[in-house]
Amino acid sequence: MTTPAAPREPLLRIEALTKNFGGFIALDNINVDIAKGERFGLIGPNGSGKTTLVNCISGALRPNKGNVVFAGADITLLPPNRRSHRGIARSFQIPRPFRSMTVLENLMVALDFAGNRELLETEAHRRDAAMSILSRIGLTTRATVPTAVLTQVELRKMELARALATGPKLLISDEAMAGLSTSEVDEVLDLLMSLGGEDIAIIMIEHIMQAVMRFSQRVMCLDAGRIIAIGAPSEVMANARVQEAYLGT
Amino acid sequence: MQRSSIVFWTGALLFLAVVFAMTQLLRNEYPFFAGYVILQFVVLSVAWTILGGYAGYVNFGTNAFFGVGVYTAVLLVQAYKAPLGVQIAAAAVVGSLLGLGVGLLTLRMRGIFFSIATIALAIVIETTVTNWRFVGGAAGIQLQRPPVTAPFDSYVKMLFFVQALLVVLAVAITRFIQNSRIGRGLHALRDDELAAECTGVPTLRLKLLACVISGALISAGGAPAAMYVQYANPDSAFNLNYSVSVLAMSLIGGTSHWIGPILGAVLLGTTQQFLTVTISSEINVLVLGVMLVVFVVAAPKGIIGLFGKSFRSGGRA
Repeated sequence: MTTPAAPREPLLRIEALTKNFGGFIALDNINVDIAKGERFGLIGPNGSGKTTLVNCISGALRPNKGNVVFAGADITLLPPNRRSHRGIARSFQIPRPFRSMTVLENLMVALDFAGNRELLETEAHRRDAAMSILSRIGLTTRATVPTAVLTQVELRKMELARALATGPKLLISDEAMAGLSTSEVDEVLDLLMSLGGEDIAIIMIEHIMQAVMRFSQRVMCLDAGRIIAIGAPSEVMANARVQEAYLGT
Repeated sequence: MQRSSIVFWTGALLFLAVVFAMTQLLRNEYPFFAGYVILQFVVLSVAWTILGGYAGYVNFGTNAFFGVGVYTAVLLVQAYKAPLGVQIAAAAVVGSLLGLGVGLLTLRMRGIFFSIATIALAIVIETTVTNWRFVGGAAGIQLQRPPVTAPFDSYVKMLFFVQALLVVLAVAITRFIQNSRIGRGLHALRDDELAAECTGVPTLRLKLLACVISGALISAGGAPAAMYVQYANPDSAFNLNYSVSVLAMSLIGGTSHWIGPILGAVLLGTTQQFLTVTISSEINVLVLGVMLVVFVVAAPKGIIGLFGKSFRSGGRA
């Protein structure tokens, strides 16, 4: 069932990635490949560099050393919007909706600027596409509501919907389940699982272990900016260093 | 053409027809003299809103762009006796280049830092002009109006009509931006720049575009002022009052829809003209300040914010 070894042609290749903030080394020589359609769990204690890694992949930060290669092209120096056009989408740890807009308009931004604009020439086509994504996510009834009145779970879903609207090949979900109830976690997890079936690779950062275990084909654990374990979920969980990093024995 | 576009262009043509009829029927020059200033502020406020409202980059350098418009006209008149149309077109070009330059230099700054940089810009340009003899230097320069062309019987009436044309141009461009994906992109980056970038919005390019268009229109709106007063000096052309007035007009009207700055400029512009005649021109600034405070407290989204949903941001018309 699981595929611990990365396949030959990765969708995303991270080569010798190093990022420091002044004297603090947030990421130290990270090497990892992620395959097309792979469900990849990223774990690690707070401050271990998970979000920094995500920021380097999505373009919010530039690494000090190393390369990010996506679909065969080096994207290390591209700004986030160009990466989005190539198929990298993300949600944020703390939701960042466009607050002056409705849910539908949030998705329209994605469809207007990223997405497959050739396929969605008219405004009406894009609107239909946005509505179909919303119905899939279960937000149809909230389409015309301003984002300011959304609940936490709706905000999380809206962010995933907006990311999906860009037409990604790789979706990075940064703690999309933080602060949600058990049933809500299952709801979001099912959603993410179903996307994996469509050849969208997903990197899921999460602290909820059951979710990571159920979701991931491979799991990588970071600690203090280094990879301390990578492989099948059960192996990583059983790893002594991972347990030490989490439990601090 | 969409229904809203038909309504818009009908309204625009009607507006121009009324303005033209006024120039032909009214004999008293005063309404044109006062009306010109109000129309000028409509152009400036609408143009300001593209960057300051839609994109959320508060430009305090309106006076820089305005003054550059005035002095482009002065320079062309001094050097080539260029006609009014050429003055305005050239001012738009220079304004757009200035916008591009400002954008490249300052748009990586956000919030208050961007605003401060635009103030600095105005001071730099004013100092340059003050030390430039050919356009009059610190003492200013007198300009001779050329003879007026038919169908107008006075130069001020013609300027009034020309400024009305600029109003239509500025509003049409701003409306186009608001209804296109450019407007949506600007709103997105105003709400959250990083999220916008990660959603595919080319934020830097859009901000530059907003800066260029806004700058071009403000300079174009300022160009006829040289011929309007027949005199230009750096002190008045680069007066910070332009920045403050335009900011107040846009905010009081509301910046999420192009109609907001029009309402704000007409309301404040008319009030200012009225006060200038009845009390004194000094009291303008006081009234401006009081109105701004009142609106910030009572109607933070401006006049259009009071009229509900149809004019909220992203609403199309």
